[in-house]
Amino acid sequence: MNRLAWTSLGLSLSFAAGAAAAQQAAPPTVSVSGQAARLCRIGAPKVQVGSAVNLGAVDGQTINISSLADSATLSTKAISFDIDFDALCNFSHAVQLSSDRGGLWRVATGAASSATFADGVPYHATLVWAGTQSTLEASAASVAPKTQVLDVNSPAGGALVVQFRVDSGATDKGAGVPLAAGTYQDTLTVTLGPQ
Amino acid sequence: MTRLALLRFAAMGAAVALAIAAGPAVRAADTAGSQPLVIAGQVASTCQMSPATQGPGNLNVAFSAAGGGASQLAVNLMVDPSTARTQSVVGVVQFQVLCTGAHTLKVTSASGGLVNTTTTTTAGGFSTRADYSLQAAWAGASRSLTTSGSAASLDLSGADSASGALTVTVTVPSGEGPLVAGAYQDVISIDLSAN
Repeated sequence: MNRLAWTSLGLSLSFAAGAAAAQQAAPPTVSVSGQAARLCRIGAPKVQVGSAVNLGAVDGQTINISSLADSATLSTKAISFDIDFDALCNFSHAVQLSSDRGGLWRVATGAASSATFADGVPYHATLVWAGTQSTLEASAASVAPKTQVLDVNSPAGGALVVQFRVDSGATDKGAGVPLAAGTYQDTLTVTLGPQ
Repeated sequence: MTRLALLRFAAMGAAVALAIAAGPAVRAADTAGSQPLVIAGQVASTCQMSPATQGPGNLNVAFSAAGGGASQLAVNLMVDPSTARTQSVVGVVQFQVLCTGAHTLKVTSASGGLVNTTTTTTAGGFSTRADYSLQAAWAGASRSLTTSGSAASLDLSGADSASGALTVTVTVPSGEGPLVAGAYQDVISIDLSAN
């Protein structure tokens, strides 16, 4: 079993032996060495449904919000859920949390809304990993990518958690502004890699 | 024994070398891993409308809220006492409306004029109906019609979100008739729905 494991690391063996066993001054030696490759792995997302607030259907890597707008105020309804990933990096590394659009933005289907209506919903995404955390503020200030990087100066493995939060009434046009009808979307990407 | 042992080592070394040669190349290190997540939410088109309030520019009319969403414009002096012909009347009613998306808005005169509800008998050139101008303004658009005895509607539907005052104006010109004595009435309904 151990030999098999060594071969997966790139095993090299060298041998030394005397010409005749009877005359050898020292027993033969076997030198074994290997190189562990630098690895970063991140598994599929697992949404913690039990503790979620205002979470809709989860379809693979698409997470749907149950009710983005409050039926009474017509503005943003609070959202809260955590996403777990089984992750591992065996060297000092960085975790990058990036948003494609810097907020949940309405997918444009026509003219932009007037100032009376909001088209964007800001959110916070907090990365919890290796005993530390870092928050990406997707503030919906403009439709633009946003990135947060967390450097980890040691190997780490276990559950990487992204805490996704939307505050009640939060919009790009100010607190409590009604949301224009439509589909709102952003893509959040978690990447583990070298610093 | 020693020689045999050395041969075995040699044989094993060859076997290992063959195995490495025959197997796939050592896999390149996976130093990065990434998981994208799509966060999506829907905001349905929704409309809200406040109860009616009296608008500006009223003439010869009294506004009152009747409750349950109904309101009333009561003409103070409908006909000239000396000619039995209509006096000028201007009644303005406003509703605060908000729609987060595409919507249908119709303002409908049920009777197509102010119709005598006391009698239908006409004689001697006297009339039992006073026609009026119905105007409605909403979200930068304005529509109007003149009643002519049958139900008629103004269509102010919109394809986008909008908010503000819906203003409905009833204008009875002076000089219609002469009118048969009795109570005259029409019902104007505002139908608003989100698409």
